[in-house]
Amino acid sequence: MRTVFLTLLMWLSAATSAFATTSLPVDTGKVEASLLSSHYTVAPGQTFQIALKTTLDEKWHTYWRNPGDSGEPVQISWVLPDVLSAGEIVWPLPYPIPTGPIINYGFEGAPLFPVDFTVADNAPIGSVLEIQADVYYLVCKDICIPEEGTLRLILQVSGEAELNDANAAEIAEAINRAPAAIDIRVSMQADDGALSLQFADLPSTVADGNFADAYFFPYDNTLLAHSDPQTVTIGSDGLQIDTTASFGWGEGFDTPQQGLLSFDLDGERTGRIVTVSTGAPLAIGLDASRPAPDGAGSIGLISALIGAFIGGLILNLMPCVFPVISLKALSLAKSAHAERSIARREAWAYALGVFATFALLVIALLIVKATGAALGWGFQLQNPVVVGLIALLLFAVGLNLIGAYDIAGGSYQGAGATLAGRGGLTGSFFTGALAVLVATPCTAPLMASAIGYALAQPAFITFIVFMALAAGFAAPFVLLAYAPGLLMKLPKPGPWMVRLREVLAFPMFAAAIWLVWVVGNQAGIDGLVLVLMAMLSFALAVWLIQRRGIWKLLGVAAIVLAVALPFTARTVPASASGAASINLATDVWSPDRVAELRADGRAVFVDFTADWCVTCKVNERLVLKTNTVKQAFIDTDTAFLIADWTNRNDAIARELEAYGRAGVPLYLYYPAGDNSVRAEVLPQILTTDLVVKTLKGS
Amino acid sequence: MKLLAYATAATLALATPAFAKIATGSTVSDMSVVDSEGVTHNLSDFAGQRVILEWTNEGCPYVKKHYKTDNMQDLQREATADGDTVWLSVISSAPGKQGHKDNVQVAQWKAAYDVASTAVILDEAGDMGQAFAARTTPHMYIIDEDQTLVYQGAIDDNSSSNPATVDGATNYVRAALANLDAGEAVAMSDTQPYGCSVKYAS
Repeated sequence: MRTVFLTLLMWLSAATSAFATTSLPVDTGKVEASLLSSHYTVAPGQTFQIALKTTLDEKWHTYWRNPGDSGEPVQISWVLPDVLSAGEIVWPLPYPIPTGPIINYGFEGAPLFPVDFTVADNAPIGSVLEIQADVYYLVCKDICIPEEGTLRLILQVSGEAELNDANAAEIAEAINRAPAAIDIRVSMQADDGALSLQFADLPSTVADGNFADAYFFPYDNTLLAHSDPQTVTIGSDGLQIDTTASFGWGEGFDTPQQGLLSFDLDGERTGRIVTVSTGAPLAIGLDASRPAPDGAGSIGLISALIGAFIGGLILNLMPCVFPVISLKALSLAKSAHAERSIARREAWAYALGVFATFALLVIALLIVKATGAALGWGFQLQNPVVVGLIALLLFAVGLNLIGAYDIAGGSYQGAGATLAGRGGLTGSFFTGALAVLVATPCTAPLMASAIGYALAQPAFITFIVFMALAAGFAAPFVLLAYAPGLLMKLPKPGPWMVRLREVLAFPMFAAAIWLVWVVGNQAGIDGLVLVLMAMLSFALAVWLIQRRGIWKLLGVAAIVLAVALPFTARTVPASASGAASINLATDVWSPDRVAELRADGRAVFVDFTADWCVTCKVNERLVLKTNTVKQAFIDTDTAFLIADWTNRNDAIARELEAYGRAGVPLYLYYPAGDNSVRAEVLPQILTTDLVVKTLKGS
Repeated sequence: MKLLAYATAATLALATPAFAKIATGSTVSDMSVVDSEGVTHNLSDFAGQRVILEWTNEGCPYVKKHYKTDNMQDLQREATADGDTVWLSVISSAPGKQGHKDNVQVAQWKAAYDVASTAVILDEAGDMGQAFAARTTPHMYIIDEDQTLVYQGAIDDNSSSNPATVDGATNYVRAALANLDAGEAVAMSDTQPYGCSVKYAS
């Protein structure tokens, strides 16, 4: 009856025009198929839609692009005039269709399959477009019938496109309901037949509980066993699906795979197209004690340990550690010519200080991580109180070095005056501790991936990787103490040591100034003044303490005041200014902002930085803020986004984690017009040449 | 706070025990099956011989593709020509479902299509199908002389139901048999089966 009615309608419309925006329906048996065009007339250069509409008999189904255990997808083969080009089918959301033990992916009811068409710019006005679709589908209930048919539409090219409101609305609704692509991080690992997928950064509603029934439909037919259950685990930052791997894993999946994650959101079934790559498991906010499978793509434990050790060695050369390190070298030079056993003991005390401090930091990190806060290495410098105290400490050490005071009762134990102002073993121990504290934010390139690896691992692994880092950090000194030849090569003690010690005070003051600047960025001008007041109070205390009686007590009080002052520093929200400059506009990073800019077809550069990160600052001063580079940004219309990690920020921590990093700097570049999910990662040490080349795509 | 949720479809479908396939390269466990002549066979009886299993359903368009073009029958004759290879066509359709056959209907079907399999197994309870996790018709398996499963999957690499696509398709079963004859390991030992679903009792 419906067919008759439609045919009648066609005749009626044919009386007024020879053109049809809806094809004559073809009943292929279990399915009635027709083509709908969104437009009556189309203009040259225009994009419009034609949809295949299939109305299935009750209980019969056709198949999605991956039909599952059996079946065949709906297929459309277009026969088109030269001036038309067809895009891909926009697939509707499929359902898992179980029959006995077999699961298929498909559709029931009246699914619509929209396809984008583009009219060539040179399509002659007035020309007629004959569009033919040869359709084929396998339609099944308990049995399957392959059906096929040929559908035809005739449209006209005109100077002005004319919409068929009813069709356009129906097609638009189908496109809106169809799963859209989202740019989230998805990782998969197959291990001995078990397949695990992690989806990170899902809409925040995931954790709110109105998200249910997640199910993953891969495009590839050989990725997972369709008839095995998918176990969904929801974490605070995403979800994990565990199921059975299929034989496609015999070869492995080197290229990113696409698939569809379907779920119920607020009671409505919906889906999103995601891109999934084989790689290390993503943290989705489950409890950290879960053993992480050894996914391909993550660095192995051995190489992480080696990397961490080498990273530790390199740390010794970092500008922020150097002043502290040189102290240690100095004390070694002193003891080199005394008892070698003393040198050894001091070296070991230093190493112990390094290990103990790393251990404390790791334990603190693990505890905080377990409580769910997103932190990263260098977190101790994200808190203005800690930074203020370290600044005060460096200032105190500087004063000590320059000879303003001496806690060890007037007789310097040589020039190896140390943190607690004591010589010998305690001094060495605290030198080690101080060195670690100031070294941590300088994540050298090698260390970054080792730490990134470690933080994604169970607690024990994290711990031993950090111990390897500590070993690398302490190694040079232990080596010096044990190699008599090397020790003897160090110059003999003498008055030069006092001079050198005084000189070393200045890098300490410089480091203190840098930290004060960091506090200023974190806690504003008031915080900065608080720290300066603390320093003043300390300087006063040093002077008072060398007096007698009541003055000495006042001095002690001043020390207490000095230490207490930084605790009153309060974090203020990071300003959105970042590295803004007169002639290059910058913007604050957020995943949404990146997506927005990329949707506009712009290339995007993201600078993950923090005020306490020396490498970042060096890169900014010497490369990113140079006129050459700024000009390259302007020429290529590349958006410059700043992700400022000076203060804690969960979104940034997650993004760093996604790229296997635990600290800044991280530089990402998304080329224009490229829709791959992952950005290009630039090296941690930038050069002007490299950045310009990256931007200009050469 | 952990929250576990199972995908609806999977839980609905898996009221039945897990439908896990036998890994290629593992030994098949013995089972006893009855053919359309009423003869009982144990898989272990065929130790020392090569066994080919073919899941079939006469009504399925994909099966028709291979029978109407004589593609399946030619392969049956070719494979069993050495007199030492056993070809079992298995019908796992439940009673009342498409493709289900009794002894008489099997005889008629064999005559109509000149079927050359060694025996046609009637598996209406689906036990043999479930044991091998047969999903589609046709779904093909090869068991070697040591009772090791050396091939499972599609008959060829063209998953269309159009009979014209038989020509020019790469026949995986033929290729696997050639590998075995040459004393090599099977190159393509695991492929995605295509066709209609096996009509198990749900």
